[in-house]
Amino acid sequence: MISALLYLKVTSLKNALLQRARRLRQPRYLLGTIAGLGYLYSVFWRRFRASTALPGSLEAPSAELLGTFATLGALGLCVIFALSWVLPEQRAGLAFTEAEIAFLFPAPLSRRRLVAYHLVSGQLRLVVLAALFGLGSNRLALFGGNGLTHAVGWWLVLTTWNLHGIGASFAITRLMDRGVSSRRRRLVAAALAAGVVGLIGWSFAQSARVPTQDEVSDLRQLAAYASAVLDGGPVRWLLLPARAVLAPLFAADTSAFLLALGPALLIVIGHFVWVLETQVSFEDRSISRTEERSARLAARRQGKGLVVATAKASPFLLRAEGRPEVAFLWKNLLSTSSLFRPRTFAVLAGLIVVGGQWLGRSPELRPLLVMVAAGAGTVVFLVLFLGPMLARQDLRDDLANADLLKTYPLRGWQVVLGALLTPLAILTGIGWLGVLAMAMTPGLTTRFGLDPSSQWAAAAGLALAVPFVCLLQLVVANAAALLFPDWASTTRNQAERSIELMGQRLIFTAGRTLIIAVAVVPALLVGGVAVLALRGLLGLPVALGVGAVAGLSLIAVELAVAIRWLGRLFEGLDVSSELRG
Amino acid sequence: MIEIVELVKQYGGFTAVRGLSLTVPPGAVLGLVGPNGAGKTSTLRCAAGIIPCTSGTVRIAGVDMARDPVGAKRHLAFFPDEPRLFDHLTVRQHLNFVARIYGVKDHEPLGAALLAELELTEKADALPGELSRGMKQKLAIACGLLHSPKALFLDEPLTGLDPLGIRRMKDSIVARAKAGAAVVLSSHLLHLLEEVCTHVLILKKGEKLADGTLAEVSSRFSNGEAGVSLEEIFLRATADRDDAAPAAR
Ligand SMILES: Nc1ncnc2c1ncn2[C@@H]1O[C@H](COP(=O)(O)OP(=O)(O)OP(=O)(O)O)[C@@H](O)[C@H]1O
Ligand SMILES: [Mg+2]
Repeated sequence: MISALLYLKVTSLKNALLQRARRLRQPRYLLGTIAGLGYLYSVFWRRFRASTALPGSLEAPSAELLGTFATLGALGLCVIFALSWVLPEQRAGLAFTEAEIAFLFPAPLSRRRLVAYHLVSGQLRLVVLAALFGLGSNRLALFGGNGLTHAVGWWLVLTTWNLHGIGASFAITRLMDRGVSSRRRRLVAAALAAGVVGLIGWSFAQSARVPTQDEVSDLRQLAAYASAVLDGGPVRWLLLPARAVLAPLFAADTSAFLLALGPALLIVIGHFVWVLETQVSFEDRSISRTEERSARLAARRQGKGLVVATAKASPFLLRAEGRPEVAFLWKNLLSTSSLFRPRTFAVLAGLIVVGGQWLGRSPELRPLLVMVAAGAGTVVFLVLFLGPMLARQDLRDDLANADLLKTYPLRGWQVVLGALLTPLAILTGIGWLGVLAMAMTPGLTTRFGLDPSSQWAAAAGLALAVPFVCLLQLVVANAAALLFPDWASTTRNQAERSIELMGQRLIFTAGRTLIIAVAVVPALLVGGVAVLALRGLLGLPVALGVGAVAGLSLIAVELAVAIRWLGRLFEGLDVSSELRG
Repeated sequence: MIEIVELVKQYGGFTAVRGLSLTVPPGAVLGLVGPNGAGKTSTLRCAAGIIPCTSGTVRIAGVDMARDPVGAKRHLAFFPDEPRLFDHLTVRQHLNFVARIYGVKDHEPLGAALLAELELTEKADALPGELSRGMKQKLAIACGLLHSPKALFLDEPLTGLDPLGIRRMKDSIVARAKAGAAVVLSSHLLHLLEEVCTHVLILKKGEKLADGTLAEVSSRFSNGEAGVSLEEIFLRATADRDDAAPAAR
């Protein structure tokens, strides 16, 4: 039976690695891997090398400091252990995959075997994590020792942490089975905690030394003081097991590490035996945990958080006649917060106008007005440059229903345009509110050395630009989703973490930036030339207006072409293969 | 009226449908049957204009899908095996949305009648997440029927329905056909097809093995026996050549 479980684990791992390797034949995974590795290299290894070469950037910690760290770490570990006895509310549930539940739970396996299987299969993650932590802490030269002792040290800490959590949850389940309520358990735990705190207080009273001013102001000294307090008296004994677990990690050199290894291993083995010997039924809770998890994953895979949909009133009256694109605006608005409604924007605009007038009238409140303007400027900036990346209620969401949308009597570009309308409307609405607030600030343009009369002209120009700039970025993001549907969906699939995906995201971001730059530069050139040429003739405000209109018209043409093209892509999209994902 | 001429669908190098032709006149219900992977879903998706076909012609109510996709789609409704709904729209809002897409003028009484017919009136303000699977399917049907399509495509319409739901579904398919719609549906539930379909088409590996009215197809494979079930016919028709009819060898 063990061999069967081992077989399952080993072949799964082997197949996963093989699949990863085979995926590299597809350019997008290969490119992603290259980009991801390059990125990792540049941030991690290169700096790692550099940091060992950099003299004196971080001096090696003194033995004293290490001791302080170890004591504080032990305290932290004890708190974590304590919490694992207090926090759980439900019965124990081990994380299994759906397939594991389907195959292993009905199989003739003892519970102990299942638990052992779970623990062993969890080790893979812990080992990788420990290796990463080891590299990290070694790079930062936090403790003595080398990369290997760090990795082993971290592994001991993580494994004990993991085992203790499971053991505690088993013990709690046992208590529950015996009819001990969570409340009673927590009361007892609270009493114990109070006892411990009392003990610390008592030992503090023994050492009877209030920290000096110096110690309070210097973090390092404060830590030393705290560890001195914790090292004395009964608290020392209380922390002893946790210290033993941490000792290999904090070992200054190899021999200290080897000496510390024995006790720590004993504690890990003790935990292991404890978990295996505690027989509780964890099955039902495991199943429900797995179901919750896969629901979350499924939601993420579609690029949504697990949002619970709520029925909302229609954002506006949708008549049967009229352009069908508006139906998409209506539909997608329904999937947003009910704050994003025309009414809210109207009310906010009114408030801004009234508030601006009021603030502008009283000179002593002027500084406040400037702050408001700065805030509004930030909002506009965020809407322009971050909003389109965060917005989701467009084709990227609708692609899941592509086969339904394709039966509608609409051209592809109509669907694309309709899908873009909601984020566009929301971002434009917010952006315009920001622009309005800026326009309401008296003398804002004079700060930039411009004529005060051009304030409203500048605001109008900015307001005009907002939808174009947003739409441009939305179009590019949606083009990526349409061109590489499965690519886009895996890069959005936060559930899978790997170097390839990280690299793919990097490539995506770079590509998007490049395309937007290519689209904007000609418009800027046209607008700029127009302003320069006409400034002498018509004066700056008018020249600015003409330039803005010229540049934006160019972007509008680009957008129209791009949306038509996206529509053709949508019509040609082979949904069946995309849906297979 | 649904006309499909020499439809070919390839996925990469793999041919899923090989030169399939069929005609469904108004009032007829064609049952598409065939083993898993025969190409039923591919055919239905091509016919409904969801995926582009590699070659061949699809005409819905006389309108060529390739030349005027919008015009052709105005007359059709497609029901995938899993009902596809919008998570954030209530039942009523679904109908409102679809009405705008198809420009259905007096959609409110129509929609109310459909909801009543499908027993969804009580759930008019519920979101899809609060509906049972069968109710979701009914909602998808209500959305598809709102614009009174002349051509209906249903992919496995009976899976997941309770016995009453199956009966209702059969009744409404028959009713739509009586009202003059042309219907194509795929299903593995052969005895149910027998009750609904006027015609069957047996598909295997993307090729048509037989088609015609139920009587025609059964006489072709019954070897003169009487009362052969559609199931038996299906098994005989789709059996591999070498293990079929061992007596003949
Ligand atoms: N997107 C795709 N890419 C590649 N091959 C596909 C794709 N979709 C379908 N196929 C293949 O085309 C063939 C027909 O598939 P199709 O889904 O049309 O079969 P079906 O008759 O609906 O089967 P079932 O009864 O299982 O629903 C199958 O061999 C399938 O593997
Ligand atoms: Mg199918």
